[in-house]
Amino acid sequence: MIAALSPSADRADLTAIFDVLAERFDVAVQRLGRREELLTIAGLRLRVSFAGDAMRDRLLPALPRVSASAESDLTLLVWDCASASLSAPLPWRFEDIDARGAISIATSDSMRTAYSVGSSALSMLDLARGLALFRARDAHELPWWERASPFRSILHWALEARGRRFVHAAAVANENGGALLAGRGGSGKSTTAMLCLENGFAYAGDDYVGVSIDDDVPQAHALFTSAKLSASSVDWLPFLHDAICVAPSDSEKGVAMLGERFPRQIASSLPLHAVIVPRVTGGTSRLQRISGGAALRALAPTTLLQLPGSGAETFAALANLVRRLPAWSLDLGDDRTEIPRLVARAIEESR
Amino acid sequence: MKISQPKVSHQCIDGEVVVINLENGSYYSLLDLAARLWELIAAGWSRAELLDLVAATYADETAIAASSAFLDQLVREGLVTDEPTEKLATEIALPATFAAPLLETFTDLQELLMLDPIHDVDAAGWPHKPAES
Repeated sequence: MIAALSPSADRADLTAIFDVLAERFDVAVQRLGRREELLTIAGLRLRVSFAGDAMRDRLLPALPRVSASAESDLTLLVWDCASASLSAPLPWRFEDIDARGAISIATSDSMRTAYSVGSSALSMLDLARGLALFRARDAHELPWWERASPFRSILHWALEARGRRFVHAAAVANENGGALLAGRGGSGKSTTAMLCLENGFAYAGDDYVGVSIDDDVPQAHALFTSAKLSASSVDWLPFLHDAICVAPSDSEKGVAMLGERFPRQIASSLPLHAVIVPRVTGGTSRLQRISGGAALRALAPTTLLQLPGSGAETFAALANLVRRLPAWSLDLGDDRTEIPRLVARAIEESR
Repeated sequence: MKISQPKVSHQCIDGEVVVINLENGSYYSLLDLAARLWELIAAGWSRAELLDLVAATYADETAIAASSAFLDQLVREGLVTDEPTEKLATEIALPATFAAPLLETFTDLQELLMLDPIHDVDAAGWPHKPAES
């Protein structure tokens, strides 16, 4: 049993709690075996150590299969308690979890902690030691969004520490340049990105990408090779039927894994020359310039509200990104062939 | 007046101030006079100083009442308080022509937050969402 933390918990307490949790990972490995993967995600060299197959089978397919050197920046321990027959209570009270999942009493200069109620999963990152853990209650209960975009909190914290940003947006590019597709869930950014993929664009993500803002040309970096599809968008995207691994229902999105189906179009990085804010309108598709404020409203709130512990600094970085890029709205009409053409036009006119 | 940081964060871009309340998921757009009043609040101006500037800038007799109501709305939304704070040097001019300041409010993203979450705690102490009935 892990003692509850007091609000004055210091770094030593947090390190001790991390280590107690990591010991449970070791027990899981003894029971289930270790499966290790070396990945590079948005420049972050990640050693992912899974206890057993259940979490690996569910979470690995969505991660970019970029080969990495034996060196790593971060070691991530991943297990679920059900597969290892482990009972492990949350070391903090439910009241300690804020609305975005952050556990502030378990946060310090170098420690980050969050709990996802939807996934029953705990994420911790120890920046000082380059260690992270992701502990779920039951791999078989992981929701579709966790399978499509695993380790979001840990990637957000780790990228932020390296000057990159975890952004809720899609990113595509053609030979003229690239565009960030911004908007809340259901705005059509995933469908737009998929239609671009079908038309030969390079692709760095349909829902979340890493962004480096201070480069000469801002860059988007692939975090996941998955795509999220609503039941209504599947009919529009017949070319993806072979890649669907979780079928959408009326109430929940489905997931397609793109890594094996479109290996040449998955770009680890691509340049950004425009921000496009799509919205599903029906009728005739239309592209229009919009203000930076409108683009920031489409990009920043939905990003900040999904990232535990993010605040003024992340908001300022996103504003700086939007200040550097022309912004467009894209009304998504009924003619699916028109949409990639308008994305290409926005990129061309933004150069 | 004082912005309720860190729960409230803001950025100004192309003259528009975008404000977000990270605790309840509401976000806001402020343009023209509303944006300039917000920037002056960010620079530590008091309510009295803001209303004095409005009175000195506009002959429109509704300007003070409308601006005061706007400031009240910011306080009601939990975005600012009347608490005094350090005043910073600033050169922000109000728009030449008066139009009532507006707080455009967006609540469409509140579902992203775990607001007043309905949860169960199972025998092992894991908080989780109960299965939908």
